[in-house]
Parts: sequence; C-alpha cells; structure tokens
Amino acid sequence: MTDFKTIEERMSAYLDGEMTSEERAAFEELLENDPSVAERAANWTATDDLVQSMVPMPSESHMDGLMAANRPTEPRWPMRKVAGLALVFMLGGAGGFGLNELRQTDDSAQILIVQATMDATSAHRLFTVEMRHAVEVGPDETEHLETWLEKRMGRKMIVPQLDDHGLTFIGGRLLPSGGQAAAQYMYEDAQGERVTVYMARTAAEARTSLRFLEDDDLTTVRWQDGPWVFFVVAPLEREKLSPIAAKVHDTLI
Amino acid sequence: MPRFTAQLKDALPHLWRYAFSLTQDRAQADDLVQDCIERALRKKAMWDETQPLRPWLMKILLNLFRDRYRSRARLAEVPFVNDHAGATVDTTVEDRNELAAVVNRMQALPESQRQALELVAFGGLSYAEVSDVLSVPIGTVLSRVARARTKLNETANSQASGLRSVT
Repeated sequence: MTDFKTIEERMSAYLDGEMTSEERAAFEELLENDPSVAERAANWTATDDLVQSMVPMPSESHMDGLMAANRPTEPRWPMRKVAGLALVFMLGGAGGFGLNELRQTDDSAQILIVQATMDATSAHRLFTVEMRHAVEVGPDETEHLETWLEKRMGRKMIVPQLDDHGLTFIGGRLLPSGGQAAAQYMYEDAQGERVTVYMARTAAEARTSLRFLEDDDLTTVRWQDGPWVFFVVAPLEREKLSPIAAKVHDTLI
Repeated sequence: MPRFTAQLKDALPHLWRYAFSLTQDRAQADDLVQDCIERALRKKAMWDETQPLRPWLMKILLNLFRDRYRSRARLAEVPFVNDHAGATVDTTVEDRNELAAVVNRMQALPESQRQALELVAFGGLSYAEVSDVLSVPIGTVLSRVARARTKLNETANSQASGLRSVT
C-alpha cells in the first residue's frame, strides 16, 4: 500500500499505473462520485498527451540503424575491442589516459576531423562519377593494393568484402590528405550507386563510435580509432548505410 | 545474451525519446543513444540479469549526458523550445497554444521534478525504476512526479481557459 499524501499524488500514481488494484478501485470510485476530481483527471490526461507530443517517436528502422551501428556481427569483436582499447591506451602514454579524456576532442582535433570529412566527401564526389578512372588499382589486384596501401599508410589495409550487402569492390587508390597519405576503396551496387570507404591519419588520438552526417544527397559515417579516422560515404539512407559501416568498421579496426 | 539484445532493442525507443528530452536535438539524441549502446555492450557483464535492463540503460545514458555536457560547461539541460518540431503536426491553433503553455511550464519546473517526470513520461520507467536511476526513495519519486504534473496543469489550464475566453 502506498502512502499517498495528496490527491495529486493519487492522481499521478493512477495515471502512471502505479496503483495496486485496491488503490485503483478506490480511486475509480472517487472519480465516479466526484465530478471535480473527474474533470481534473481528464485535464491531466490531456496535458499528459501534450507532454508526449513534445518528443517525437523515432521510427523502428531508425532504431535498427542505431542498433546495427554497434551490433557485434562477429564473435571476434570483443577481442578486437580490447585490442583497440589497449592500443589507444598505449598511444595515450603511460600517464593513465582514461577513456573519458580520449573521448573529448579539443577544437584543433575537431578541425582536423572536419578537414578529413571534407576530403572524404570530395574524394567520393570526384571519383564516383568516373567510369574508366574511378580507381587506380582494380579488384583483380586486391592483394597488390593491400600491400601497396599498407606500405604507404603504415597500417594493415584489408579490403572489406561487402558482397553480403550487395556491394561489389571495384578498386582503390591513394590520395593526399593534409600532407599525408589517405586511402580510398570504392564499391558499387547493382544499380551503379557507389560507396566510398576513406581512411586517413590525423594528429589527434581519439576513439569514437559511429557518427552520422547527412548532407544533401550523401550520408557519411565516421569513426576514429587512435590516429586513424574512417569514413563511409554513400548516397544511401542512414538506415541502409549503417549495417555496411558496421561491417567495414568490423573489418578494419 | 539474447535476453540482453532483446531487452536492449525493446528499450531503444524509450531511450531515444529520453535522450531527445534531454538534448532537444535529433542528432544529439542519436549520438547519446549510440554511445549508450556501446557502453552497455562493453559493460554487459556488469548488468545484473535478474534486473530489468531499461533502468540500467537510462542510468548509463544519463551519466553519459552529464559527462558530456556538464564537463564542457554547457547548459545542464537544454530547455524545451517553444517552436519545437514535435511528433504532432496537424494540431489546431488552440492545441498549439495549450502546448506552448505546457512547454513553458515544463521549462520552469525545478530540475529534480522535470527529471523524474521525463524518466516516467519518455523513459517509460516505473516509479521504482526511477528511484533506482536517481538514487532517491520511491516516495520522493511519487512526490516529484505529482508536483511536476500539478504545476504543468495549474497554469496550463488557467492559460488555456484564458485563451479560450478571447475567442
């Protein structure tokens, strides 16, 4: 039995379904017998509806997208996560760099990210329209591409296979980005829509989850792991791009 | 494990709406929810399986929100804006006036009361769960929610009737 101190507490508990069946029965009897209480309850219900309308209801597909961005798709995921964290930890120095500090990017880091985002989008816009020269190295030479980019980028460069998502790998290239090497992979779906994966090195260490940016016709997903910043750019809705980005993230981290 | 994922999926709309009520921004709500999922997955082992997941997630989200915005000396909570793009589109003029009144009342609520009401109204939590998230007794939750509703209604009704008398 709840110890209600006021009629307002009873009314709130009633509206929120926080009453025992006895309490509810007693309150409903009061509603029937006291028109002023009944009117007040009706007003409160109307206000509750208004309060609900202050916050939009997200679509199911949107929620799926948020979920997919983080869903562990392979059992090896936890290991990779641990490895990633350890790497960031080491690079952060021996001073006990907590995750919170790493998350907070300062202004200069933010500028670098903005620059890299622009590079990634322009690389996408520039090369996706090319039919013949879209890539420097084609899919038949994937192994060579991986070794070459590995050497120039200074990190393992696996080409994620996205056939499960209806995307065929059509090749990659090396690009300049802030005086350093950046890499681009390109994919194509059955309708000829192209998806770009772009990787660059930044001066600021960070580790982020997947961030989305919708700009005109393009959706960009970004995440950072240590000095490496990754982008997936495509003319796709966020819900569709999300699982693709998750797969790329999974392969590259 | 599937229990965890299923409960997480169920909790998402509530989590998002609660995040939106805190930030008043779709993109920021998305970001908060994503970070919350990430942290929840990482700390999965710390979740007591006998307890429902939703309050645990709300607590993580509220902590993330506090870490992120308080540490940057930003506003503790973004107030509800009057020209918000809410879920309802085709509201009548009268409804909109009443809504504006409620939005203003909401903004004027003491933080402790608004917080309790938001967790109930948008987070979909029971009073017991809110008491757990905010670490206050359940009686305090009841009293805060009731006070919040009283304030939302007192002025909302008087303003609304005042508007009606003009027409």
